[in-house]
Amino acid sequence: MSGMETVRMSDPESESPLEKVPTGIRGLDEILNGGVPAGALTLLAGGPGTGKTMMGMEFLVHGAEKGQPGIMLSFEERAESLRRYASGLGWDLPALEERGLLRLISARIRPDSMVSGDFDLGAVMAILQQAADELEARRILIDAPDALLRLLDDTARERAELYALHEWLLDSGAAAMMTAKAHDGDDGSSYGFLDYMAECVIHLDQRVRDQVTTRRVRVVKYRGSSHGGNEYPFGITDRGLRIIPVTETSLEHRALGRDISSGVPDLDRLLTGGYRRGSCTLITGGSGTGKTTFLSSFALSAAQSGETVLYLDFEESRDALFTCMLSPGLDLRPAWESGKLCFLSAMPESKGIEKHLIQAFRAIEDHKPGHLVVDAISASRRMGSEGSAFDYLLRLINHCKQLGVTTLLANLSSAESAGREITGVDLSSVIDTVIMLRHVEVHGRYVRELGVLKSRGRSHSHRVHRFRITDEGISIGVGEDDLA
Amino acid sequence: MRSGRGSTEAGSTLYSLRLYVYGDSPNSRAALQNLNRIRSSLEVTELKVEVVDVSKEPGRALKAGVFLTPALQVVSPGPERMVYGDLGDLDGLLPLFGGRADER
Repeated sequence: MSGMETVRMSDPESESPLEKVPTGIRGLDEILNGGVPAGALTLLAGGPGTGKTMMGMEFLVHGAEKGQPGIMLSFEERAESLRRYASGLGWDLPALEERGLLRLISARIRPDSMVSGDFDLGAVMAILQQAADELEARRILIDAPDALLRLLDDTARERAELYALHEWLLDSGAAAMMTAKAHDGDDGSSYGFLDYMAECVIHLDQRVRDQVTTRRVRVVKYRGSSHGGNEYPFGITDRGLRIIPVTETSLEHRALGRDISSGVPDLDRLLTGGYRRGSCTLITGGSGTGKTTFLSSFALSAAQSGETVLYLDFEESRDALFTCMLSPGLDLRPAWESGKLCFLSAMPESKGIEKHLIQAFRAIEDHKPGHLVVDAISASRRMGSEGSAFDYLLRLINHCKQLGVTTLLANLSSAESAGREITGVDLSSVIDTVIMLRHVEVHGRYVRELGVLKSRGRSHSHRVHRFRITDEGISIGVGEDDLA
Repeated sequence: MRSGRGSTEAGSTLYSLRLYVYGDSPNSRAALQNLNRIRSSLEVTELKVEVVDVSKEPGRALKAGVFLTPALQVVSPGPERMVYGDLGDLDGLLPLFGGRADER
């Protein structure tokens, strides 16, 4: 019975009668459980350069593309600058303007203007009204009203004008967004007042953590609706914004699929069949224990059977890998040339985790692989902190599981803790199978050993097995148990 | 000094102004009253004022870049200038029209 209640509780639709407008921004609608409130104001708050204007603009662009005309009123930017920024994000604003689906209004005040006495936003609202009538606007973005209102130099007057503008927006019936320069805990100003006025408040943030710049987005308020409450990493790409949520629903992964050969017949036997499609397998071990050979065996075998494999490499160049793998008899080059084996190489230190994620997501979008190989996830710690590594891996694995993509991960662990330590970050909930590799000294010689520490939902060998890397690949001694 | 300004036969200066108001809002009424006070306190200056109601002609406001009301545009003589507000600060404005604050 309690199970039934849980299902109902986790269904966002049943608890939100609110009408919503999808923003079309990747990841944002998931956090908002559908979109921003229809006929109401959503506030985009954040410091300079956090992407508020971009987010608002993308909201309009997606609306226009769906035939919902939009108006952007900027108190800060020239229309020409806005068109230029937009083209950098892959949006052709002039085309939308020509089709009557978008109107840009730049309401910058000439810097040589004088101020004498009190004034109000009457003209702005008259101009907006005319544009809204002409276009039959369904989405409206008011960008940086503070730039104009600070001329009033009077907090009470600023509030009164914002209130009037808000009333106008509500009367228009459009889904509205407004940007405001604000930070967490910034109340007492007119922008704290905006937080109170808006139905939905989204905070954007850009910070430097461990010398790596990261962007975060958080929904701090959504009147009458549930929403994801965490901070989510996001990036600004040449295809618009991309927010990377880990929502409740993303944990409802697909059921694990049929077996696929690991590329090592002996290992398939230990795992009673091989890796399972859509599952996540971790191969962990010290330096030189053969992790990359296991990864390459799988990648080559899958590619040769006609499936696409994406190889995400943090360790070495593609050509270096090709050369190294010739020694255990794995010729990866033909698979690469056939297009079945794709590579994405990246230096972990080069960018923040959201950029790494976006790059990986995009490669997955472009190549549509059935399987993803990552060599090695331990490198993700170099993207910043331990927390960043966790964010990165959890989101990457989650994304793959949602798509039904098999993930095979290598992890470099120290010799002492070999096998028991998984990256130092707790990913055990998303990892289905763990294979440990190590070197052991026996009578003055190093011997390679392998053990299956975990294989979710199926039987597997519990013994420690010796294995060798020969010029024909990996060979596992199934009968040896003297070191178990 | 006056070479750049339009002059009437009587030797006074003619100013061409445009006042943008929003309907009959309190700010707009105040601006009209204040403009009349400016007019009466200037002796050798003539003010020609066109009143534009942006609630009826928003297109003109957009074209002129007027986003706040009331707004006073000095069309001629000289470079175009824009004054936002209900013109409540008379002392600050008189010099714009060649007048001095103590002429009132």
